[in-house]
Amino acid sequence: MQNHFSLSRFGRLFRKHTAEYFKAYSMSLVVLLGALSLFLGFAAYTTHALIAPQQQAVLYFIGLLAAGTIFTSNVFINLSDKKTAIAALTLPASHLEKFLLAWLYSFVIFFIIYTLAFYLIDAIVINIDNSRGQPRVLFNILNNEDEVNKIFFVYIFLHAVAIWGAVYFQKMHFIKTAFTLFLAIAAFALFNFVFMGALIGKDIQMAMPFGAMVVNEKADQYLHISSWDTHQRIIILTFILMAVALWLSSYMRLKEKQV
Amino acid sequence: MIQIENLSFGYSKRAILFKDLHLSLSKGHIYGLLGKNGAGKSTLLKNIIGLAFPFKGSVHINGLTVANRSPQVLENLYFIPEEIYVPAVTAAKFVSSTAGFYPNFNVAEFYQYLKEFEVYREAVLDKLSFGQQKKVMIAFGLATNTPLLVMDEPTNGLDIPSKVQFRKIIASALTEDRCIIISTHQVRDLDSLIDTLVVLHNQEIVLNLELDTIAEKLTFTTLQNTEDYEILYAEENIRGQQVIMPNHEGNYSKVDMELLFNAIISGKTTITDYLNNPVYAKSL
Repeated sequence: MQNHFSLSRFGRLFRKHTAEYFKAYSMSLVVLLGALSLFLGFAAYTTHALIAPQQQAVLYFIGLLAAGTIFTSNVFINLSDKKTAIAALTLPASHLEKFLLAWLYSFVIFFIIYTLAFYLIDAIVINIDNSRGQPRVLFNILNNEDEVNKIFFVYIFLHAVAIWGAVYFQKMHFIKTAFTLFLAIAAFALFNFVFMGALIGKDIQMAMPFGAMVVNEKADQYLHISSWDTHQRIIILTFILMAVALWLSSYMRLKEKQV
Repeated sequence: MIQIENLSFGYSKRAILFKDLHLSLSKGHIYGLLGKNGAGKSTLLKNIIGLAFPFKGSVHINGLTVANRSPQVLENLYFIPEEIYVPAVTAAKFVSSTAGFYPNFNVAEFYQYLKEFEVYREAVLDKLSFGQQKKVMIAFGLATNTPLLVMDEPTNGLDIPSKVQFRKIIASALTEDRCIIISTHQVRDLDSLIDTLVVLHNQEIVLNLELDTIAEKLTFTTLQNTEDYEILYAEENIRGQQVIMPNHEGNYSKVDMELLFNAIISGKTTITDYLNNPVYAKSL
């Protein structure tokens, strides 16, 4: 077990990584703050009232998905260069510890930093914007009334895809991962369409994976089959299971990495 | 210490670099790994430290499979590649963040080596020249006191005084618990440093012998006239013919590694056959 995980060794690895990447991460944070200022500032400028809490939540998740996947795609950037890869792979820590460090930084720490940064800029924008008598309300990330928070499960899945691409690809991680993801979705959707058509033996108009299915009945009639509540649970469960599978796959790939 | 058994490796199955290679390296030696450009010296080193995986065979260090890259294996070896990476921190900060991974790291030794190499400890590493960076990593590698220290072309980028310093420091760092492997194509840089010569040629280890053993078997000298001599290999130079001959008389001559290396890679197998087979004293 000691060969796979040791808390003291992981602590050392964390301190070393933080010390060596502190400058780069600090600069990234400044860029993030700048991008959020522009993003939220533009949203406030183009909205004739204060940005509503629900809109703030949507902006929050758009930013999280975009910034999170870009950051995660570069979390194993040291493996793409021979010199840094040798230093990283020969450092006396286990593959599990090295993977967990990348996971911790890209998933947990990034999420906390991003959320704090978003709230900071959001609070500034909401407070300096012309309220026109409206109450100045910040969105609550823990409020699940609108179910926007469920996008968090998409973030989990996309994080797993991005970290997989970060380990798997040698260069242009973000572009190649995004390309592979779109290709996989298209292939899966096509397979699902053909499979569902064969399964029910009828002409179908649409059949998205885990989504609704539209079956052509007659020339001017069609049947719409869906069960949103069940689908939602299945989709969330699928995202989580696929994320776990991709995290595991990324870890295995890290173990196989050669220089 | 290092056991390489039946190792076959290639970057593709069509381009095989090593085939069924066997090699055994022990503690208490400084090995010089020689080979032509493209012979696979760096690749062999990568196989030895677990950065490349053979498609057949195995590499073990003290009985542990290197390809697993377990901390138990990694904390007992240090590798200095030809092209090094240094983070944007000072040498002092690098030591405080990295030394803890190596149980036998000696901070005092590290600063002593830096002093001998004339590198300022508070300098930011990535701002140093390539040669200075290399010196820092050599100093760090030596101070880890790992049982295995592997260096790939360590003298590349070092100036002449630094090469002399390098030889001196490496010689002083060898203990009977340590195995040092140095790969180079600059044979003269290993002069008076290594005690065992390993030559990689045509996908195989064609030689793995201590210099003393080589000196016992061969004589290296310069002759004006080679007639009536049993010459195994000869090269002309301005002073006559540099030759390698069987050492029947038991006289000691300094091994000319460059000449020996040239003899081995010349395509004639006379020298390797002679060295790798027992030599019997002539009956009276």
